[in-house]
Amino acid sequence: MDCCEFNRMLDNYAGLTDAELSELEKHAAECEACRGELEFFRSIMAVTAQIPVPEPPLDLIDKVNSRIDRIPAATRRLDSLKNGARAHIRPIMTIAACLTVGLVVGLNHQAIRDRLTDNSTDGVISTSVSVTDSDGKDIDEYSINEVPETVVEDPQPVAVPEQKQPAALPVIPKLPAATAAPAKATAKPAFKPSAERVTLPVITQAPAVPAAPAAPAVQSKPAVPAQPAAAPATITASSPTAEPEKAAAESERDTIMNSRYRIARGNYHIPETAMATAEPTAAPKSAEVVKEEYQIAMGTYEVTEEEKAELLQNKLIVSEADIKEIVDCMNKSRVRGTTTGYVASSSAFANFLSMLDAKGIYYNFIQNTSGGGEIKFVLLAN
Amino acid sequence: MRRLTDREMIARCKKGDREAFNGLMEAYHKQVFNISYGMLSDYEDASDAAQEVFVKVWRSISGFKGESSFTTWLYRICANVCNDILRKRQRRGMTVSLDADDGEKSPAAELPSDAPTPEESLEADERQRLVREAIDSLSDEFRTVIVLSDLQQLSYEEVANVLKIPTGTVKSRLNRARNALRKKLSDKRELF
Repeated sequence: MDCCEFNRMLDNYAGLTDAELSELEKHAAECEACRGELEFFRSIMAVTAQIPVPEPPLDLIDKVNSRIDRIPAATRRLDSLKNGARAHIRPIMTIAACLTVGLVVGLNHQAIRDRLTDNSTDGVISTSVSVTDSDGKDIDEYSINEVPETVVEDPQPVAVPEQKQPAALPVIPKLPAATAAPAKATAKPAFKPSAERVTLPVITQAPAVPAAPAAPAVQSKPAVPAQPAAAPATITASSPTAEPEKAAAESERDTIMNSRYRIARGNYHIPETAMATAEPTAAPKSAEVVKEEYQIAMGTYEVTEEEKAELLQNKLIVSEADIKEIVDCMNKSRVRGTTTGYVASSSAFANFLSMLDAKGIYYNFIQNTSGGGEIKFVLLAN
Repeated sequence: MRRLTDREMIARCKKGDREAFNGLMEAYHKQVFNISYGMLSDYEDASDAAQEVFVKVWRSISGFKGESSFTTWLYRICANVCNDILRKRQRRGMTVSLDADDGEKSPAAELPSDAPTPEESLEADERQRLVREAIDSLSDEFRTVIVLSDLQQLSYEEVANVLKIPTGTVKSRLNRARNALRKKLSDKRELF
């Protein structure tokens, strides 16, 4: 092993096997510089593990009990109903959803088939479920964080609610760069995974959507919805989102110097068409390899106005496995879908996040902009 | 008298047994506080966060289906609560430093060092302060994995379960976070 290989392995310390670790230590025993580097690295880890943490306050548990005692009894009953009802609602709604999807697909078979064969989109139908109570209000109106001012004396058992306002919520908003990836890939400074890696500028932003190179917006289910269902069905397909025309490669680009946007590592869904044409070489690559190349992309890029807008979006990054529950929480929290993502009032958004917390759903919200009393964001799946 | 298992305490909590819930809090309040303090670096915020975590746990425990372990669920709520607080701080433009003089000594500043000599004690304190500051300067994503893995000593699989990301992604983020720490501390190498 040479020093270059040593440094590469040290950069990947968490992923080393026992055999690789032995090789690392063997080289460190023979090379003073590398030994110093390894000792420095391990010293940081040791200090990190020993950072003292103060004892928690002695009255922490008492304070929790005081807060719980202040929760009105009716709210506690509602919490219990909500938590229990979800267990019953989900299977019933799932069956109803499947039946309705079958109906919608059957009625729109030709339209769907046309979309699936259309190379300009990804051909996946997105669906959403909207649940409201008989008054058209969201079932879970209370925020976990707040004590409601009105007391519900006799909460109705939450069975299958009557849907009056099914909201057309796209699961994932439009994919602006899906079809333009090839053009962008050739015009942009490409990701250079090996020796020519660009030196990182100062990064202060949380990971953003990988706008470069050629990476379309992250999404788990690109939306190609059919027409909205006429009946108050539980499943509504979102409208097809209009893809803006992409400027040609020679169009004027906006350069962001000292870019503060870091491209995050993650699992990205790249449409087949984009993968096929965005590759820098002729050799076909597996999806995993393509993802690996697109994941680490840091540096200064020339971006279009659209890409800049995309980078400046607020992003809610979640696990793909939680999408259904998250859409459910959105419906209950009055988070509205738009052609470019989602929007909610600040209080509704806070309520939405509280619901995710209560469900134990992990999320990472990256806020790049704030606008008045509304929060606009895109949903990205990890 | 045998101590109730977590499963038994959770089952009782679901029926509204506050004593059982107190038992859960006794068992886990330190870990929750440690994670909160690791992420927030502020005693009061960590205390508030820990309270918030347990209130949320109480309010939603009847919905806990046991598909993941209780600690995974608990730590996930803790990470979300801490990230919420960090976002609110960002919006207010607040930064927190362990050395900030707010007119009141934080308990963190009174922690005893176990170094044998005054000089070594000073050096050890300085190393910890530098590493602490470096961790605080990391992004939320990197700070979270460092706190869960290197401070809280969770395994890669446990961290993956808490954050609902693949184990490979945990290792990747940890590598990048540790490399970032190395880079930030490189000019103070002589202290390490």
